[in-house]
Amino acid sequence: MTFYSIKILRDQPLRLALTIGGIAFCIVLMLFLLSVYFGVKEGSVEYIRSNRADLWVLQRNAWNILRGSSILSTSYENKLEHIPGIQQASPILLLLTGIKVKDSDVTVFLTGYDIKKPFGGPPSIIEGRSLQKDDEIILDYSFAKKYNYKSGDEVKIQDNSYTVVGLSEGTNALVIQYAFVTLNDAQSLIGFPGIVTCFAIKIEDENKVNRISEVIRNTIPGVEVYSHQTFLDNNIKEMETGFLPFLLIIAVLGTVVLTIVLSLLLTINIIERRKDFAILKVIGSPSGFLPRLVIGQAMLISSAACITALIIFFPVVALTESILPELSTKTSPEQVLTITCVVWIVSLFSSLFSSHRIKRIYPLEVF
Amino acid sequence: MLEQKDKPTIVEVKNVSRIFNYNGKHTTAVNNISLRSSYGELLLILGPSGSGKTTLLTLIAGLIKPTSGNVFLFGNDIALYSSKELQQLRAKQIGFVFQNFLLIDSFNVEENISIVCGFAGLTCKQTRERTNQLLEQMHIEGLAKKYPPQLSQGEKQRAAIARATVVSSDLIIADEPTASLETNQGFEVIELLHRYAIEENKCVIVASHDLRLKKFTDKILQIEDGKVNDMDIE
Repeated sequence: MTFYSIKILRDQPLRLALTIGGIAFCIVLMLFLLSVYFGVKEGSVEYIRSNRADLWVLQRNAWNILRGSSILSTSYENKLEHIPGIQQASPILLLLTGIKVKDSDVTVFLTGYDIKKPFGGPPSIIEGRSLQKDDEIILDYSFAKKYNYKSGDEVKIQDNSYTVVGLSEGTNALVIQYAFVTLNDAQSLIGFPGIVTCFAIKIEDENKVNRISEVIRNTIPGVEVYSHQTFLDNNIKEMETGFLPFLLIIAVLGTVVLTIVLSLLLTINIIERRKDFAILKVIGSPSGFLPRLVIGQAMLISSAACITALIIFFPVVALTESILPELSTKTSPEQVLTITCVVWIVSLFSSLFSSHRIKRIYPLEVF
Repeated sequence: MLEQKDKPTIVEVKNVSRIFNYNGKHTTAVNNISLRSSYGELLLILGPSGSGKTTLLTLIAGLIKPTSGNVFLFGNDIALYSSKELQQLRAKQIGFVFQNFLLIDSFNVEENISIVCGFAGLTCKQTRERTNQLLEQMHIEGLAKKYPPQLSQGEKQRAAIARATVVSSDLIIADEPTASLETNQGFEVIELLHRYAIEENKCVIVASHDLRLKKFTDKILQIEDGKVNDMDIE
């Protein structure tokens, strides 16, 4: 069956090449959107994921840090650390501010943290070192690459200068990147030295998370306490209700376009080969032979397109990331397998849809 | 009705009529025709264009059903065959030769012939052997890897006959097999079909408007306007 499908496809090599190319680019588009989706999803919450605090304390009604406002007093740090069972409370101040690049400000998610405390810093530093004192800054790697910053450079925020001492990874949320300064610097920038956004808490016994949460709520009114996992889930949920669904919608639209294009091509192929199919019916082809021939063609086209797409995809991603360093992608074998399966299912569906036309080909047409 | 001597019957058509209905207008393509054809003979159905020859052939092949009357193939009424049984019958026991050869352009000569073996359920080895045998018999072994557009009209028809006979079909139905050929090529083709009927002891039914083919045949059925005009048995 595959043999005859190949023979029919090979009959028009230009059309075959265009079909495979078109479908391959559709697959590349779907893979790319999926990679961006996971890249952004991971990049947005990697900061929280890597700061493995036992508890997160925020102002009541604030349930995430990505798009939530939380203002707490720095005095809570002392109160928190006096609660029995709490080892350390790391204050974190998050603010949106602009780094001056040439004549304009580029917005960053500036994170101020206490360098003596365990939490609040970047997930990983891939170039340079961590903060050691005030007036130092760690930039996101893609941000630095985009604006040509490296360790030792000076950046200006408002009227203050900071020395770039390191570049971080896992701090790119596509539309915005994280930057890290000391808590003092962040508070100076905001103009209110007595406030922070949240506290990341380390406790002595992980089994007492619920009890200590309750104690915090009772001790400091107006705050909410989340376990690490709940807080991480809250932030993921926030990302998923943001622009991420649009990426998925575009990926779904890509699938629909693929289905339509494939159905159309297969239907045209059937119409063009109407006479051949009628001949095969007359000379005794079994009832399943012609549908299998069409399915075989669809599967061959989609398999060739998948291979082509995989060959194209990784260089395309590398090229795109070099042009747009802030574009964060994450591709896994599972994603590739998922898209391949989707394409095969789409091919099967398209060929079954197109195969209906075969029923309307009558053997008498050849006489 | 054409009378049969002693040979077993393959095709028997009894008082068959076929009426087509186009937009409320009834056209009788075949009108109360009866015939019988047996192993080892070539039956020529002669008639001008539009006389109902092709309709009669498609009725015999079970591709359409008669409006009235019965068609018997190998002793059984084809009205009782399921569509799957009819498909198997066409794959294993009926070969077709068409006016315009109707080879599949995407397949080379060898593949055009061997595809039928697949439909008839032959193994790969049997398919290879039968295909090679037929290619030799038809003197087209050198054309095995060529594609139909690369062949002459005569070569195409030889390939088409090879396809029709590759599974040793008991019945060959040929619709105007010489119409697209030059005179000599046409005679060669009809001689090939006649030889197949005699030497292989098969039944060949040829529909044609060419009166010159009379000399190659055992039986002639002349039809006009869907009715039998004349019968002749040698």
